[in-house]
Amino acid sequence: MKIVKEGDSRQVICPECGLTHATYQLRDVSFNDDSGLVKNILAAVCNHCNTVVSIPKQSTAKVRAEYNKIKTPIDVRLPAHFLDILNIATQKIDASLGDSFNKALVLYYLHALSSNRFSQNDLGLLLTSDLAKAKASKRFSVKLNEKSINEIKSLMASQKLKNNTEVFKSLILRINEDIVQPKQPKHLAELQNFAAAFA
Amino acid sequence: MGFKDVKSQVIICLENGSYDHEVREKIDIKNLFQCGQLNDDEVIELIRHTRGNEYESSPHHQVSTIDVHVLKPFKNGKRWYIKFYFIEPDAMFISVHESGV
Ligand SMILES: [Zn+2]
Repeated sequence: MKIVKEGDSRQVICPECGLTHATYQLRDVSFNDDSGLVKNILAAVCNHCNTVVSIPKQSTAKVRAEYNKIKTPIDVRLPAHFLDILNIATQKIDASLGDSFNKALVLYYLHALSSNRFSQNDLGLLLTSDLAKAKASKRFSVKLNEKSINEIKSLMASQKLKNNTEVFKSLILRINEDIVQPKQPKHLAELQNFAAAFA
Repeated sequence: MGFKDVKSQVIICLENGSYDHEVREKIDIKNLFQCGQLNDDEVIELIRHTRGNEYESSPHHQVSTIDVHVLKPFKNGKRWYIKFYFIEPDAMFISVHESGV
């Protein structure tokens, strides 16, 4: 396997400078969802603008370790209108937000409910509503750190939910009740603050 | 360079570990290869699996002399998306992810 050294130079296409050269240097590189940081890995840094342009294969092991530490993929299937609920809620919080905020909103609710800052009242009951009964034809996937996984477990226990699907379904139905249905959405100022930090 | 040559050259780069992952300042969590969630053998397998009609290439938008190669193999019920180019001295992977997610 090829191993590069600190100070080695290579050709790159830099997004700012085009075809140019970069030098391998030690850098901290973060994940683009800002969930974590891979410290002190060799990365090719553009000689002109000092931007990290690429990481060599040998740095992938540290990236993987950091990624696995913080991320567990969770995949559930949901009825199509559940994703519409999230889109509408996101738009009501801030019309300039893209749908990438949808997952953040769900995780925010997970945190607020599991910590009892938002009331857990009758969360499980929402699953018996008419809105909950539909074909689950869409995929919803999130990557969660250990903290969120534990929050899911605590909600399952306190609300007698059977699995991840039931947790996410009830969270989204609560978002429907809190944000989509009311003329005056609940928790609006707080969610707008969160959205501002997210953007 | 034809598809067959692209395929064999990129597999050689993977086997030799002579490749970089392109980064736009941050590591893209959707890029499973960059995040170490797919290993070299799995990516080689996907590339071997790619048919001629699942391949396209076009000049890099910044450097027209460099071709960007896109492979869209279908494996285990999933469509994959593999994007890379060759640049001295090796290959540069732009992205490897499941498409349509
Ligand atoms: Zn540059």
